[in-house]
Amino acid sequence: MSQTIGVITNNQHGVFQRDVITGITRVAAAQGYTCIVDSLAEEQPQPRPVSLKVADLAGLVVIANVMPDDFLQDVYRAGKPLVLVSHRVEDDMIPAVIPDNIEGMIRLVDYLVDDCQRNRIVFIQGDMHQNDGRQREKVFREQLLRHDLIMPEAFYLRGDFIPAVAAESLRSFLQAQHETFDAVAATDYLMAAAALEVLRAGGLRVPEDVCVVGFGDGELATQVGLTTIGVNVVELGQRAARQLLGQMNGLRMRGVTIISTEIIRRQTG
Amino acid sequence: MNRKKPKADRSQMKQHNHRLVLRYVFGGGANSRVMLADQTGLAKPTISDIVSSLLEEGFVRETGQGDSSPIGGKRPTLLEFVPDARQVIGIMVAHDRVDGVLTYLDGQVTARHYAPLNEVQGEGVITALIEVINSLIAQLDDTREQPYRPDSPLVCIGVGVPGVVDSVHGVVMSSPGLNWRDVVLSERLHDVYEVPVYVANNTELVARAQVAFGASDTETDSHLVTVLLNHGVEIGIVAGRHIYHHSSSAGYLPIRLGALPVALAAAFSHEHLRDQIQQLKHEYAASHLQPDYLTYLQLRSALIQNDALAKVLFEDLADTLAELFSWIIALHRPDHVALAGQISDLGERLLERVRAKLNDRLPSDVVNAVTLSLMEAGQWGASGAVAYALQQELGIFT
Repeated sequence: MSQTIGVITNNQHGVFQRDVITGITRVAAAQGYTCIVDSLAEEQPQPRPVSLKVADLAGLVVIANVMPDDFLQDVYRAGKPLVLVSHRVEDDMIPAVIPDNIEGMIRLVDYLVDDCQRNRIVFIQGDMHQNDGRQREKVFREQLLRHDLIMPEAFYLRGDFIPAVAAESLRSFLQAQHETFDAVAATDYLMAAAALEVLRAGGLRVPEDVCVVGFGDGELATQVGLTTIGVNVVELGQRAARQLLGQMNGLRMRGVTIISTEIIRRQTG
Repeated sequence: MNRKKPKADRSQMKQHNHRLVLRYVFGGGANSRVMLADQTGLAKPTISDIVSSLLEEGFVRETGQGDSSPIGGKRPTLLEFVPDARQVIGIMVAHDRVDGVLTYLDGQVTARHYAPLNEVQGEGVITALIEVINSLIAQLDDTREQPYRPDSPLVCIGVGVPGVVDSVHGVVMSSPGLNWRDVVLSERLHDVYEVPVYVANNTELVARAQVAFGASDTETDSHLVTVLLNHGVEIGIVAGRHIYHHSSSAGYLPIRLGALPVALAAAFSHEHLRDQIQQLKHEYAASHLQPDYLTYLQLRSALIQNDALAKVLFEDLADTLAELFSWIIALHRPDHVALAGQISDLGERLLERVRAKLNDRLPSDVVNAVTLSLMEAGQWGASGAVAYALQQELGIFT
């Protein structure tokens, strides 16, 4: 019987991925399991094939959308214990653990509108191929409607969860001299930090002229004083490991475990 | 049927007293053996035995010495409820998804899980329900340190379902949306998990959660009616903090919309909205509303943009709702009517219109005495199942 759990990720040194892996390892080790991480895209422009031999593993955790859904469905149908982190496949039959994007975005919008009295909010999108990116934008739009607010489509900027892309989009937006805005909401904190630099370079005061709020938390967010929606990413990994251990102990599962969020108030909003 | 009520036997009396004492410690009504004896009316040796049992089971802990009474005497040993002594699972089964929470005994949520039903019905819903419960069992907190470690940290399970439920026997008598009839749910789940399982109607549990977890002000809202619009029209009633156990479905009642009578539930359905858009589209050519799937948020969006057809649809919905509310208010005279379900996405303007229409139908003092509010059912249903299960199993959250 294998005592090894496999973890597949795109970059094990990324802040998010590192914390997820810490959570997985912590729970797995307490139950006598070791973790092997297959990090597919480190220092490479394209992901390489999976090197883990899935059949030899006790179970598998896959972080984000690093693997195609066909691969995930094959592993699941083969009966191998499998948990997804921050990713879901259609119909939600494969167990997944995700941050509560709905609660988080509702908190973010309510905070900007109710607490900061902002109603002209520029939104920086995530990677729209990822569940987190799609869902955060959907909930953002819906929650604005619950405040009877609709933003012009020009206020939705491409970010792809890549700070440089977000920064470039915001620079272009500022240069285009669109309608006035009084807040920027980014779908992750790294893009929010990049937006902060662009706004300040453009002579705008934060938060007096423009509030900036991100999603997720890390060292950089603390350094720049970013107000953000906090998710306990280590807990995300711990919950995923528990789901996996449950399957390894014979529990049949389906659906999504959701991790709560909180607003962390700092200087930018 | 004339059933003779059996006398409580010794074990039932013991269980009753045990729950009574735990309820007082849980609610903060008494924090020492002396106070418990005063408050419950039970003899001091009985209190002493029950507290010893609760300490042994881990539900209560001693926290030090209190002050002596003004006339002196021995200082009492203070007692405190232990919320994380066990955990409980609460589930809400809707027509399209199963939502679950894992909580401590005070209702603090430690894990949340959901699964869409993907249009399965009948036995497939039970399979999905079990797989959601399994997912929460995997998250049971078994690492906490405490003097007493129970065989299982899970104390009980509560399940809410739409439809007609015999809560006493845990039987779902009829739930058309799930294609369930006479499903002996409590027994089936007990066979799997070997803990007590309590089953009730969803709307009843939403109402219970409002009372247990403070969404409703129980000082002023002693008579609360919750109306849940979610593929049906279900009504839950709380009177004087007591849940009325026969929550009803009013969805089949005929109402008159235009010339034709339709079932009440149909008046709030997406199909009805679609039909209305198709019928009226030519009169409102400038409208951007599409007859295919229309959510209440999309309707709200159109209202914000002054879409005339959206205004017609909105007013029809509000007026139908006012008709339903007027009967509820006239018959029950509630302090508070809470509207739950996705229709709450229409926001406060919906309640403003409903209140205006109520004033056309009822005396203004009757209408003014009622608080109207909106709530999202999903977040409360599973919590209500927790409160119900704990009330049944431990006597807390009454």
